[in-house]
Amino acid sequence: MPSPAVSSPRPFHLGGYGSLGLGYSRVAGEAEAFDLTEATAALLFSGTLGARLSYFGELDVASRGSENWTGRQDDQTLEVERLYVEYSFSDAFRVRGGRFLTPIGQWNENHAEPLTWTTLRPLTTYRPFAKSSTGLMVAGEMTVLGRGLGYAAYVAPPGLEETPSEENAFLNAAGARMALEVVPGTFVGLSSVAFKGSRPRGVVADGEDDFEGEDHGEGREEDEGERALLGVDFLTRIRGMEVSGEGVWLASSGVEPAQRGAFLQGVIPLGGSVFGVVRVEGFDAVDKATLWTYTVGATWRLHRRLVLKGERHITHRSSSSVPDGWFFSISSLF
Amino acid sequence: MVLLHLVALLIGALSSSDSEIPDLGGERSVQVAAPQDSAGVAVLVHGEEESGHLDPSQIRRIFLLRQRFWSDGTPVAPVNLPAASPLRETFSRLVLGQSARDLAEYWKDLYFHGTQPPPVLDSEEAVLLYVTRTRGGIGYVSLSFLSRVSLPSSVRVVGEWGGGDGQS
Repeated sequence: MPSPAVSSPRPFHLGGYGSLGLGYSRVAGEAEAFDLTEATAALLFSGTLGARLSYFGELDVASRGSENWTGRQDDQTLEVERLYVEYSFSDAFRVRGGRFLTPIGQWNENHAEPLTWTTLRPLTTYRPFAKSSTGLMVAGEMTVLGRGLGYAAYVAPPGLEETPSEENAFLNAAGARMALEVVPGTFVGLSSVAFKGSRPRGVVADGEDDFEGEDHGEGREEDEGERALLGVDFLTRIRGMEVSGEGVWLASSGVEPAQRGAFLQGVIPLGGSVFGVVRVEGFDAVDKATLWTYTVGATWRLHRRLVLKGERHITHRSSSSVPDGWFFSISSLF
Repeated sequence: MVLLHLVALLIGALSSSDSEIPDLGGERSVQVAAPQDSAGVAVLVHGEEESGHLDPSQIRRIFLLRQRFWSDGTPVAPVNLPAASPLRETFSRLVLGQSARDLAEYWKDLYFHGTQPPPVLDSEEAVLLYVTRTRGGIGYVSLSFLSRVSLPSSVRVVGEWGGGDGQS
């Protein structure tokens, strides 16, 4: 369901997660090499005060040797990824204010390494939009014809966003997402957002960006026109198996070309706590040929809080954000 | 720095309290004894909450923490049996419509949003006591347990499943 409510039996709860990623990959014709792709640690703090008032925060520390977010490369960051307060008037109507994960698709709101099945993230789930928004949200869940329906609608007004130096950000945005639980464990979702964005210089023209491994310049550029994004997604879990998919379509009235992308992913138990993962993704910057990426891997949940992943990432046009090679990670939820 | 990070990862993973973290171990979360064919489950609520029968979809929303308030605004206070309890697996399958293994994925995602699963009590006796004393309380016991006890006036049965007859 979109942007679920914070629900903690205590006024303060502290948790977090961390991950280390290792890659053996080749970028744009260079020789294959081992690389520490990412080291992240996140602190999660939350609580519920008097049943209706709650808060949530996530503080991230990351060191990345390869790009995982648009424009990020060889950076070390400390950032507040989420920080909001929320008041529940009822189950169907909550008001949230602050910085929250942008509710587009399912992956972006559940992107923590220990929760995902692969080390690398599909472009579709982050490339066309800002991962976090700062503003006001209303959200809730209700029953329609016996089925659970969740929604979230939000605005990110101009001036509230302190644009991070090296990733996409909304200058202003208004969007909504809804998801329906068709049968227990099976969800379909629809997302949309209209926005004006800002992104690092060097990745402004999506068709010319670092798919070719270009160096990024300093500074940012703002989108010159309004943009509109439409997304669809689904997820089904049954008997330890999982099938999911997301698709986005981005239109622009400015100089940037439109983008569209989609992926389909399947997870099957292989025995014990080992799961096999396959994924295919097509991402299209419209003025270039579609970039196809194939991922085959395995995830071993070797301890109740430790996850090991290994995968082969295959693409015909490798770059720092879409590498061709082997990737491994260890992550922990605590 | 990498070595420090790795050490911190391992310490964090091995030191925090088990009860708060959803099990990431997939199938290990359902290594429980198979429920007996005759097993049935009854859902109990504190007597002041709601009236009449609760349908499975509402009970599901409550135990998945999607419904957090009763119609009079009282916070809902669900309670679970331990993950290894056969009755919990029966309840998950009959009433919630998903196995405990599939629900483990659900709780794992919600943990990332500041939500912990309902608290766990060790026995059906403890569940009955909790529901008796807690405003907004809701829990489940087996039909066989229910047949052996005399319910206090503050507790109502709002649904029964299994026991050979399906829902009653």
